[in-house]
Amino acid sequence: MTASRIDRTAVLEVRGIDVAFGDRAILENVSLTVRRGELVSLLGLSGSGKTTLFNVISGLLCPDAGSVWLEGREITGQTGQIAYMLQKDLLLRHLKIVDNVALPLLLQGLPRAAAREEAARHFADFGLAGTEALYPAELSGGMAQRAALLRTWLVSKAAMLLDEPFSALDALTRRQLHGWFQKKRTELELSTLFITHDIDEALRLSDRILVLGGSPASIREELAVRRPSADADFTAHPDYPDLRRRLLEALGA
Amino acid sequence: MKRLRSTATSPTGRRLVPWLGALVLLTVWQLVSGSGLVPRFLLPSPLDIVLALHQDRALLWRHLGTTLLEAGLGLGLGILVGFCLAVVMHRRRLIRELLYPLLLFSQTVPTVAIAPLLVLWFGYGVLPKVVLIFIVTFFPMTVSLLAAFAAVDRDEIRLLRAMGAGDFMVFRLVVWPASLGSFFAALRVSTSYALVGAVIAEWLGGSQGLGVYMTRVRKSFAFDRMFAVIVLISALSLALLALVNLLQRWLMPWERRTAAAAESEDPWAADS
Repeated sequence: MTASRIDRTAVLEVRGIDVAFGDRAILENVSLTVRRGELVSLLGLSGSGKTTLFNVISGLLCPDAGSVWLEGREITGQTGQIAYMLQKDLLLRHLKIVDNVALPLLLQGLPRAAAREEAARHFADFGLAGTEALYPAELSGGMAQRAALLRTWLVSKAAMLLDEPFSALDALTRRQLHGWFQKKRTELELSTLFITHDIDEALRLSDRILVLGGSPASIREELAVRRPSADADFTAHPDYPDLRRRLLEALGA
Repeated sequence: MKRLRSTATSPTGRRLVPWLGALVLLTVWQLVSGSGLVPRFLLPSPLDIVLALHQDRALLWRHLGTTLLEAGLGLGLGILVGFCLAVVMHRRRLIRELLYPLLLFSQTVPTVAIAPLLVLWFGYGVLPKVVLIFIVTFFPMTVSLLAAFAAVDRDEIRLLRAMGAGDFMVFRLVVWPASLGSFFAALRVSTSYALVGAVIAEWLGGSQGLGVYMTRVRKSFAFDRMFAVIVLISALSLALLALVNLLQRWLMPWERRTAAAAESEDPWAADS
């Protein structure tokens, strides 16, 4: 597939993805773009094909049609290019935090010591200083998610896939992590594709929101969100009720 | 009563409790045996047994070496084959379906029943013992590893694959570490099987080993020596289990810290 229109600022591009399992079409002509520093939320009901799309982007699943591009390189069907993070931290319980975080570097062929050193360099940045030699069970839920986030980021600093990364946390920790994450992503210019089924979370964090729906699923609605600032309470924003209503309609709720 | 309770709740007191039962049993045994209620030669006293152990120490030591060698060889072979079989059966569904029933069937054959056959086939040397021990030890290994491999979190495997890990790295980084606990549980079972298997195999013929020694002292009605060798086998069994536990602590350093972390979060774990 050739690029019909080259978007210079696009970091992650998904073009015309079709996926079917047997006779059942899951995704139909799904296209989306994540630009540098942007957070794009993918909103959809359970079973709407969000996870299938993530599997395609991370290379675990080869689509029947379409392609995936990361920084201008085609990565369709290739693993090790971009990683995802789930609501489970999926830290390996037998490895210390520093080794867990260093895992992608190790898999990219770095020697163990170098991988460890490179991983440890970012611990303070992600609020993980002092946790290097702990085991995952010894971390709090919020810390474990930050460690998982750092690990995901080290796979590919260009873009990340986050699949409900904060939804297993308690409300307070979640709020704190939202604030922390907003700062972090401006600071590191993170380009993120974010799955959630929580409308408020999508409105709070996103630059754009895509609604995935239908059977087979396709992008049904795209909304740009003008966030006032990272810290402000978005629910107080005048646009909030209107955006919320439009999203609920698009979801068919 | 009150005093006993307070020693039992102090840390050192609590550690002594398990020994208390054994001490009482041994004392009663010594008294009964000394009182003449039971003829001394039928039920030697604990002291007689210790004496027998001491007198025969050189002989016992030699027999012990043979038994340990057989158990070690058989167990080593059992672990190796059990592991390989589990890996192959895990990866190839056809092989798993083909072999699983055979494996189960192989365990319905009683060890004691095939031992004489093995002696007829392989003679009186070390070989039939090793073969018998292998047969009884590889099965717990294969079955528990298979179950452990299948229970590994699919999401962890998928994530590792997404990060670019191949089959070998997935096995080394996720599947094997997650199965280590089951491996050690199986190893504990196999280790005791190996020792018992060696002794049973030696009963049926041979020139060396604790089982051979046992047959000989039985024929001469030396009850104190019978008891001595039983005590020795039990002690050996315990020592081997302790060795396995030590190995596990060394190879699974995260286990204790994970358990400690879970306990500190569990309000019910705080014992009075």
